[in-house]
Amino acid sequence: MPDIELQHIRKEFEDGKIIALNEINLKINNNDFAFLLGPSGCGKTTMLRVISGLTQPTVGKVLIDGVDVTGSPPQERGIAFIFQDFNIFPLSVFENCTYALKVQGYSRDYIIQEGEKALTIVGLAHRADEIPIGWSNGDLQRLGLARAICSGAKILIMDEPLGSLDPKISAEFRWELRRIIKDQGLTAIQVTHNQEEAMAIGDYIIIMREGLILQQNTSELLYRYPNSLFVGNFLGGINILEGYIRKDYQDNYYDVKIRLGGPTFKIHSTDKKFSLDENVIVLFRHEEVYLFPLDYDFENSQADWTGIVLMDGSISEKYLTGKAMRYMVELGNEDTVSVAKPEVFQYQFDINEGIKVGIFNEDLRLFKYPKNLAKEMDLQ
Amino acid sequence: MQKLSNGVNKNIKKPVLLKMEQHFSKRVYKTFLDILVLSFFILIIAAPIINIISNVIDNIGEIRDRLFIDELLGNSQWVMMVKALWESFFVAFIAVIIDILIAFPIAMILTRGNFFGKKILDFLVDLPMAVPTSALGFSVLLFWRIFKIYPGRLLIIFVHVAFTYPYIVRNLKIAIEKVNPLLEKAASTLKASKWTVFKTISFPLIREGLIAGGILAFTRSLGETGATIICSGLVETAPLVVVALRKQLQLPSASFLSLLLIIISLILLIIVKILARRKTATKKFWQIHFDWEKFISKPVFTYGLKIFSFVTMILLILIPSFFIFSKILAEETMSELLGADNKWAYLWISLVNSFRVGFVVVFIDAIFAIPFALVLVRRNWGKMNSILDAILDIPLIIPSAALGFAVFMFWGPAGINLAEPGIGMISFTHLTFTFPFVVRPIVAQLRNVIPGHEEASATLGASPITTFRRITFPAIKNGIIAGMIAAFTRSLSETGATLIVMGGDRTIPVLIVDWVEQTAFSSASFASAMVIIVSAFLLALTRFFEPKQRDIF
Repeated sequence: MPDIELQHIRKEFEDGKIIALNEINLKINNNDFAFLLGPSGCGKTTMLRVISGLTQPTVGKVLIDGVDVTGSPPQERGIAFIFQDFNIFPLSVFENCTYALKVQGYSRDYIIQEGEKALTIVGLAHRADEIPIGWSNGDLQRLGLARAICSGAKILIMDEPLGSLDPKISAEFRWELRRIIKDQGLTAIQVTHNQEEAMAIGDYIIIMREGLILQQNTSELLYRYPNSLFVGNFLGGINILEGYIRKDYQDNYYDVKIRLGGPTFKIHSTDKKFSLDENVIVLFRHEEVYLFPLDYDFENSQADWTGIVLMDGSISEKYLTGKAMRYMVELGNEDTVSVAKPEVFQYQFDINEGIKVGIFNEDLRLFKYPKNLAKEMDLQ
Repeated sequence: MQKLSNGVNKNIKKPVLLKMEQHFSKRVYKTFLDILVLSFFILIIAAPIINIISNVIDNIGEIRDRLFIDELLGNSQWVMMVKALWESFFVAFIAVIIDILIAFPIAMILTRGNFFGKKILDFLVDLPMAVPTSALGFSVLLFWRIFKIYPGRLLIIFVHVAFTYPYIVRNLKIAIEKVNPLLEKAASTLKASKWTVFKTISFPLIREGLIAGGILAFTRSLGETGATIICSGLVETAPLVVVALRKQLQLPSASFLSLLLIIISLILLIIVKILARRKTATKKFWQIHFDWEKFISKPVFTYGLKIFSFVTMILLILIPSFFIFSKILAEETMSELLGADNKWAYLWISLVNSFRVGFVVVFIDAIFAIPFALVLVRRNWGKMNSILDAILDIPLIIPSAALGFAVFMFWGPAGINLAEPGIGMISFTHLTFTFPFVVRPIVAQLRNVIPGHEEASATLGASPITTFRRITFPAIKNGIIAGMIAAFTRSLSETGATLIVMGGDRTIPVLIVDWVEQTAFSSASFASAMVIIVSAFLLALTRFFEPKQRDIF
């Protein structure tokens, strides 16, 4: 049974001038950790507010545990909300943590027991009597998490909970967050700006744009098989090449000739049908490009390079990003591809050095040429 | 009763308070409260003003006869009204000009400066605003008598400068605090002289505060009664004429003049609000930088200006305002107070009356002000919110004598006859003009309440009323207290409206006026000094509860 279900949700603001959510259908399963991803203003925060009851949808139903809760206020939905700006009350740590139990009239003993439990889980038990003034953002959000856990809600809704945190602390905290959520057996939905965070700890990712859900799936499948250029681009660095269909093999394989004398790729596409001579976009990721020195010996290499398509190119820029070395490689047909390679790579290339560029046919994704390419590639 | 494995009782029973809060959070109660609060608002504030309009329209024939074609007096009553109106405007205009001239440097010193005694100076500058104007007026009268300046136009101007000055300084201070000093520094690094920086950077930013303060001071001066009666001599201002007409029971004429005053004040308010929106920076004058600007930016002039206005302020405002304290120890004070006409008893009866009215009014105000502030800030009624907001300001700007007369005509025998002139009607009147004083700070505090806190509380299972009690109320508490003290201070010092509705009862500011008119100067001094001390104490309390910048929450 799905824990949270949205049916035909539509949300308008200012008498329909702004459509924040448009025909949203969504199921989030029990014990899943789901992520809502999308550019600013895509409606992800509105979606959280609709689920939690802080905002009522214009049209549609919200079901929690199969019960229609549309129209009922947040306090009757059994959810806990974690805010980006924490919204910690001007009370002591313990009072903040046990607020939910207090306002629901639980006994003193129970409040003390549960409060201590929750504070211990997030590691704040020793600071229970402090007033959280001047606390770091990380600690404030820990308290926010404790407050949510202590409420006993089984659904945790988080609006960019790590967004105000220092990047490094955020990267550490995210694992702890996942561990606690899994330990407590919670169903969680989190909105984030951070694709990396969503892919690292999310069970399930929902990509939104302009009030619509573009694609939803597990992180691996989304990363590997985006259903649009936007989704592909949104989840990580991509290269695109423009080409046209030269040959249709009828078994979902197509020969694609890259424009301006580029190479020809044989690409598989199950979900889209293309006609001959149709303009297309070929997408591949930065890390799916292989670079070889001109004198590389493919015959005697330990790796298996069968199926790789090789092109001539030269390095036009290179810089270190920390995790990897980034190269900008100019291909013979004046296309430029961006390449990410772990820094300690077998070969180091210099600027203007001539090289061979290789891409495997099976790493390529094929898309129809969009009406407005610039808009499709705009992540804002 | 649920028991957990370790023997802890989970849930004894839901406390009655929480149950009630949950029950009363239902929509139907919310609607009921809205209606109740709006009815109060309409009855207390809007109805008297609307009533006076209809009253004038009903009696338009009689008013015409009396004012313009009276058998005995011809149009002399109308001529007198016009003269009084002109007098009021003249005094208010001159007073505000003098205020502005000496307020700017002082406001600068009080915000930017850092010196010993700054807080005391700040307090003293604000004090004339809290003190009953009749006490203040009497003190000013006694002071200038030394220099052979007797009641008349000049003395009225002096006393008006004294009690309107704080309004201008206060608004300027708020405006100056908002100017980022870095902007001025940036302009200085671009080789702008001090005067040019002020003209081009600071002044445009301060302008709105100056206009707001100016209009408040102007309307206060226009409507002032207590001090003016004491300092007027033979000169009559418009509020004094309203009081006089009411005393002579010439109700239609009084209605007419009250309505005139109300309309003029409203027009002034609208004009100023429109003016405040225009941008002066685009005008040519503000873009040309004259050579002499550099010259007058020399320290000799800037310091000279500061010292000049400081000295003027002390001589013109502070010393006259508190001169009364030098008189209370006069030998005849006690004998006069304890004399045959029992002034001592009257003093205490009036004081008790003042406090009784103050307390009753402030508590009723508070009960309705909190839900009303919530309506203003939280309800999404579109234009309705701004209309209510605008109406709320009306009692602040119209002359209290006119307002008092409107209340008298509405609640009194001539209207719905619910109250006779006396302490009951004084309370109704004070309710009208003190209501905005309580609402305003609450509104300001409510705007600062972080909406996320209330949402967090709701997601954690609190009903709306529980959220209000635990989250919202603590956040606006200081605003409520500050508003209540401000309203109490205002009620304590009000003269004009009280004179009209008091019947046989007396409040302390009115008693001072009476005694001055009876030339019982020693007793009047004693009473004045006493209320000044009480007001000072109340002002100090307001300071204590004034909303402060909150922490990160």
